[in-house]
Amino acid sequence: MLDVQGLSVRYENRSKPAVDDISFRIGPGEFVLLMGGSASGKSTAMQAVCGFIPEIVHAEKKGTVRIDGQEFGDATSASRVACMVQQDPETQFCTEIVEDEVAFGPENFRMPGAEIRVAVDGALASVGASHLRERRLSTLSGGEKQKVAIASMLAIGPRLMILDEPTSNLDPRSVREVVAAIDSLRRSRKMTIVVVEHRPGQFIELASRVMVMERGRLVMDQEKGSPGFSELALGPATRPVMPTGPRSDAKVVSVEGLGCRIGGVTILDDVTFEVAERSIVALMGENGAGKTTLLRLLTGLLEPQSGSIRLLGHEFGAGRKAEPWGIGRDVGFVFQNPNHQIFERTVEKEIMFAAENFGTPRQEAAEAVRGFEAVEGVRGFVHPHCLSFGQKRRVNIASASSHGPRLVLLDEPFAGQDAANAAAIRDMIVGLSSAGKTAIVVTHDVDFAREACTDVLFMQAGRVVRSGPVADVPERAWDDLFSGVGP
Amino acid sequence: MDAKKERVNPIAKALLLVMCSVLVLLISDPVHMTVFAGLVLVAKERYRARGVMTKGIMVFAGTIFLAQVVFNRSGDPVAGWYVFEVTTGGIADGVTIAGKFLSLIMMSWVFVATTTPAELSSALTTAGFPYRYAFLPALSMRFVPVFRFELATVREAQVTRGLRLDRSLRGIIRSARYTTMPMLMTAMSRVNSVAASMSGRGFGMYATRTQLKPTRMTSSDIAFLAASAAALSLAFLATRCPGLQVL
Repeated sequence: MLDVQGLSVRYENRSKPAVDDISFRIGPGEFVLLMGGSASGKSTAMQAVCGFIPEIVHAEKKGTVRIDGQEFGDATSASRVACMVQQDPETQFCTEIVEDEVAFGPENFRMPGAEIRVAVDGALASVGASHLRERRLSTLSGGEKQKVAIASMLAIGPRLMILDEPTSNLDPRSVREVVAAIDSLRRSRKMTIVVVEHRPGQFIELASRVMVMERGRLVMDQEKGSPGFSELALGPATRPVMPTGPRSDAKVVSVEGLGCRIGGVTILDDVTFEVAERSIVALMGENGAGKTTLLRLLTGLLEPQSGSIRLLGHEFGAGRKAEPWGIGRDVGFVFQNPNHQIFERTVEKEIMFAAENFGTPRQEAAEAVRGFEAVEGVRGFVHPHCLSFGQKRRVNIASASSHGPRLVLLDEPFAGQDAANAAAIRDMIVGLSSAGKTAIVVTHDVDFAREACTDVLFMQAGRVVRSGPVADVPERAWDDLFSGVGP
Repeated sequence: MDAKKERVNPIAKALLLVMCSVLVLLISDPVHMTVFAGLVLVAKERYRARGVMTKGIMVFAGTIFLAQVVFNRSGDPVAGWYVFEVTTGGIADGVTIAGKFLSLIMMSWVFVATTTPAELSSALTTAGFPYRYAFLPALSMRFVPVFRFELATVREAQVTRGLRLDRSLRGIIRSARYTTMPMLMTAMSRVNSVAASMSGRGFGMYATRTQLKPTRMTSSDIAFLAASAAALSLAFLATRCPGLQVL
């Protein structure tokens, strides 16, 4: 089905290839899990398979890629037989309505209207998304968007489907839905499927074969049932990282009766909780539960319709306007997308940025720069946009915490990170507590919450359904939290 | 949207917009211009058409009017203040030119409010326009809310990093500097993703493409256009009729 021989890919101005002379064959109907850390070359290799390189992604490609014995020169000509669902479905939608998006591919292949309708019906049914047909894409949840992205490829009828980190950025319930949809495809359509992931997760149950890439090379290729397969299924070991230093009884944040409506929709409803000094709080819940909105309210970027917030000497809420700049001196905020919050041309200036703007002592920021250089092996004069995704994230954290804030808010810092990068970010967050700061972290990562956090705050449909020490959460409750069973 | 508006082909609506724009440019009487602008305002409210920078547009229209009032010396004097003289010609031309500006802007808002980009792209494709270009309105509008959201997020990130941007020249330059790079980086990453998604689904493979829901010009669209052309022609003749000249 897929025959790759001597494939190498080198990006412009890079000395080392991103993919270095890999060869493999995948038979029809196989379900392959392609794993590897960030910058291992797995996504680049699959982009080359689908013809995105060099047509869309400018890089030099060598070697041959044959699909059913045929070589294709570009993505458009390969699209009839092979397709790739990208990591973030939001960035690959080009219409506004689900039905239009799924019909887009068949329309390009000049299928007659009646056939397009059949293809759209079949594709949506295959992923369990027929009920979403008339919906606007912007109103869908993360899991629903991913299913529509898969359906939009299915409608073309490819023989090979590649999914690049399809469960990244999804909450556990959405992950289960997407995995079930892909499993349904595997059984019903008997397609050749390649799933690219950092960690095995639930896909290991579905895979007939696992390939692992490291630094551009294929280092492992195991069939199901072989000795090495079961070790891969365990995934990388995580180590508990307990916050150091005693917790304080002093309250850093007190929220009472907070309510927020945006565009006529209730986002938060009667939210009440407290956060103790030096604690690390895991703020968890399904996509759309109101977690990011809560963080924006705590920084004064949004005004609630009801309730009050007392935060490090600042008091604001409904009827009492917040002063975001003043709050920002005491509260650091790390947004979801690293690119939204990089403003300077060097790593050093970026980390010093907040300290200079707030006029706070530069010592902590200067130490943060030296620390970053030492840990990352990156010089301070490097442009932040030349860093990897994981490094950019760590620059964000350093930049948001180096002006001396006592509270740091982080919105999904682990999204899209492999195990090594996630561990490095975890260490930085725990380090905040050791330095006397308090952190509230929006996350879907249950392991992080259990191993590195002192408290958990679980939200559902705009309400807090559970809050308190992590140690007090029963084992079974962690699964129930995301299955909608309740606290 | 009501059913009648939905049935009108987007190209028919676009042609109506062009015809109305031509009429607006030909109107020279301030009373006729005021009446026409009033009708457009009624349509704008009827279809709940909203535009961007409404305040700025109103301010600009006001500036146009004032500029004519202050500097246009044609007609009879009405009032004076030091070297400035207000004349009937200045007022008339001010109303006419500001009215043209506002009418053109509001008619565009009505068109956008009554036509989805997807419908327009579909209609252009059906009419024979190359689909690579006909798809542009739909694709552009798809990302307007996305970039608006991202711009808002970048601005919030600036605030949380202590950036205070005032409306001075220095503040505007700093704002541009600290907004351009983040927006450029996210835009570039989206361009690659969308291009890959579209190419990966065969966009551009053939010279033409079919449509699940083609938007065709019907006989009622043609009748609508003919009636509109007749009505606008009569309106134009009416503005030229000596008996109907007000000023």
